[in-house]
Amino acid sequence: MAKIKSLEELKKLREQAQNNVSLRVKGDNIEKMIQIRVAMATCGIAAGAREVMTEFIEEMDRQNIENAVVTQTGCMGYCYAEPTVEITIPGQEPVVYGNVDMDKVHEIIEKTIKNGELVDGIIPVTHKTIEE
Amino acid sequence: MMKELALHVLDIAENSVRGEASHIGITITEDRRNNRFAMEIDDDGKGISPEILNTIKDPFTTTRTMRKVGLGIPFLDDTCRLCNGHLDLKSTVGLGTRLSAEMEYDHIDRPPLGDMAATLMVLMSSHPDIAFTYRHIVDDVEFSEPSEFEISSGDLEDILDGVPLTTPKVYKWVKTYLEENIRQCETGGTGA
Repeated sequence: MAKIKSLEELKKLREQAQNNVSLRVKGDNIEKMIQIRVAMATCGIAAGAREVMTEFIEEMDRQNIENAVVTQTGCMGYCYAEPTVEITIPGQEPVVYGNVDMDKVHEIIEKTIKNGELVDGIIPVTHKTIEE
Repeated sequence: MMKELALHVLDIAENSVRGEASHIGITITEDRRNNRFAMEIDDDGKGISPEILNTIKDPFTTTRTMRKVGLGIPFLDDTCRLCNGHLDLKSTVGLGTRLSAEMEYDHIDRPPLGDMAATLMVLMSSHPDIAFTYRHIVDDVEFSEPSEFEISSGDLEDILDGVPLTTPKVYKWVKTYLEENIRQCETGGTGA
């Protein structure tokens, strides 16, 4: 069966990426990056966490934003407010946003990721990041 | 409740991640010829003890005794039974766990498979240290033979040579690659 896209194409993309200086800089500065962590437990998944994580990655790809990394975390205990996203700006305390929909993803990218501003929707409790 | 079976796959595979698996296999079988839909998730994680395995489908005992499992398995078990199917879990402590979920393919209550490509991308990009293998098999009376698609995160890593899956352009390319191949598999290789 003929493949629609050939994995050979991916090889070319990889070569382009390896020639990209910003990628190497990114690897060296991982601790200076903004961390975006999407809660990916049963409660989060049922509420749309997969779509939220996908949108963060794809929108930052579209806009060529390179100062943030998207990853996931477990249930942080805010099941009533899923999907939840924890944003950590280097040197600052992590902040958790609740009920994150597609509009909120774009607002967080525009204001927090690009300009370091907080937006509405913070879960107002003393939050400590969880390690998993 | 999960709107897509692909979300259940994501949820169950996250259990394997928390169970310290280094390899996770996901197999989707659409046996339309025999009106059967099956999904199987197996891992080489730490396994589940017999005591917990006995009560794993009960949301009340499991959430109290083992938070890591919680409602995910009871939800999927419920969906399987609603669709004249069943959920089966086999596990050996220290060796791993295998979950199989079966449903009637054309049962009115069976959720659609949904966006498997998105599920796989979330799993692979969040857990670069885990090897994922995905197999999708479709058989239909209109197919001359069953169609099959298989991909492993190792295949992609070999090509990417250290470049992360989340690199701009790479992520989108791989996602589209998965979407196209899954669609081709589901239509028997004739294309959409």
